[in-house]
Amino acid sequence: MDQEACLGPSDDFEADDVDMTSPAMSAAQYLRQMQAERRGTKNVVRIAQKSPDSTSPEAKKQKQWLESVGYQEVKKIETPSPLIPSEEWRQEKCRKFEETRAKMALKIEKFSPMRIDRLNSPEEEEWHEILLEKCLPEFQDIAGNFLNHTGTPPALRMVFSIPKRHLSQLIEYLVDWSIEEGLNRPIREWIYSLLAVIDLPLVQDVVSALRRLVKECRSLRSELSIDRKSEANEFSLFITIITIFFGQKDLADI
Amino acid sequence: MAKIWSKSGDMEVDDVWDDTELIKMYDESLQEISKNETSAKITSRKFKGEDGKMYTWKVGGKCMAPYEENGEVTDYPATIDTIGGADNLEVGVTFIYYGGQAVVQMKDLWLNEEAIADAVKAENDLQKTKKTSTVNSVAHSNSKSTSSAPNTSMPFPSFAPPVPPNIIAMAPVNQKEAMNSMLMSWYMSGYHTGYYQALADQKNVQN
Repeated sequence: MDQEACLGPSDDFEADDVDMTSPAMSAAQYLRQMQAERRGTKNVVRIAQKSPDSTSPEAKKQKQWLESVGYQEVKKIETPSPLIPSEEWRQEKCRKFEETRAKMALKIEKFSPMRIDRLNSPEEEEWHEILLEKCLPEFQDIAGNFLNHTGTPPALRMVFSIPKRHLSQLIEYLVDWSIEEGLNRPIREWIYSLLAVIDLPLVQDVVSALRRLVKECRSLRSELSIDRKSEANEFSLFITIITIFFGQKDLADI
Repeated sequence: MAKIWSKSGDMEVDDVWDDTELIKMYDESLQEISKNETSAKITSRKFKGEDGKMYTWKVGGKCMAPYEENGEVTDYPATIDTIGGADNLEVGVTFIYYGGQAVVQMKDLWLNEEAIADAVKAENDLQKTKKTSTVNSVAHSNSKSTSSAPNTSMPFPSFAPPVPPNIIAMAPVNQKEAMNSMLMSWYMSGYHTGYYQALADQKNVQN
């Protein structure tokens, strides 16, 4: 050994004399400890190889724990670069959305909401029926103006008549339905309408729902081919509004 | 009297009321896409400068652009990033070597080929220095340039920087201790080399 060649004649010592319990305070002492330790170590060490397929009980427990706390394995979503909108597009859409919210705020101040009994604390299934399946009697006269809706359309009077305490819950429901049934046109229009009137700051559950919506939009957009830019821009509109206007910048397009 | 007033108020509200306004705004947000797509960006433009010469400015081209600092305006070499603004008379530029960005008027642009070449060479040398990570391997000679052009070549130190003070305090006190430290570092390096080699061999076995 190189160490022995250098240290041998002038620094001979017995292994028993080395103090292994205290840390070395000098390089020479460290080298002596190292030599003594090596004399007691076997020449060959075997490590059992685990096959990647088998999962140990610890790994299973860790996976269950991560799932219980809501951890989701993040897939790498790569949208084709022509489908990602430009910075000017995003700023323009965000500014337009801000103007829309300002207009709605002015109208809400002048509007006295209608008293609709079915809008008071209904269940999720009832909300689903009201918004997406069957139009309320109060709005059947104007349903002809909303060709994309079979349920109650997001007319101004309807949107303004929803109690504020239900707006947050309703956005969560709409995001859940979009994940289950697909982000179809009526759901998109309802989400846009409710985002245009909801009060700031948002409660945490709504923020969580909006983040789920952004991830879903990014996933759907990444599956589109390059020539379907108009459909990609519909998803980009929601991504832009939620990430820039509502402050979820970590999910924004780079 | 009060009833009549409230009636007129309701009438006023009903006149401007539109139930489909939210949906129209949503559609409007989507339909503006086609307008944005059709408008093409300006990539080059001919312009007559203040000195009477005819210039052709291009996106990606080089120019001399003004930069204001502490109230003084000095022209520096820059690269043109965008051409836009009202009547396409505003230019977004990135200054060569310094990396700053600014929006300037097209009439303020002009050309100084010598200064621009010096700046480009200085920036390339800077990139080389970063790659080789040897600070003292590059020495710049200040080339001649007109008085109005900035001195864009910055000299690099010709010697290595001094050892940090705290390392001097940690140096071994005598030759024997220095030899022991050297042996200790060899031992640790050998340990990590073996560990790395084992991991690499394990990967090869698995593949």
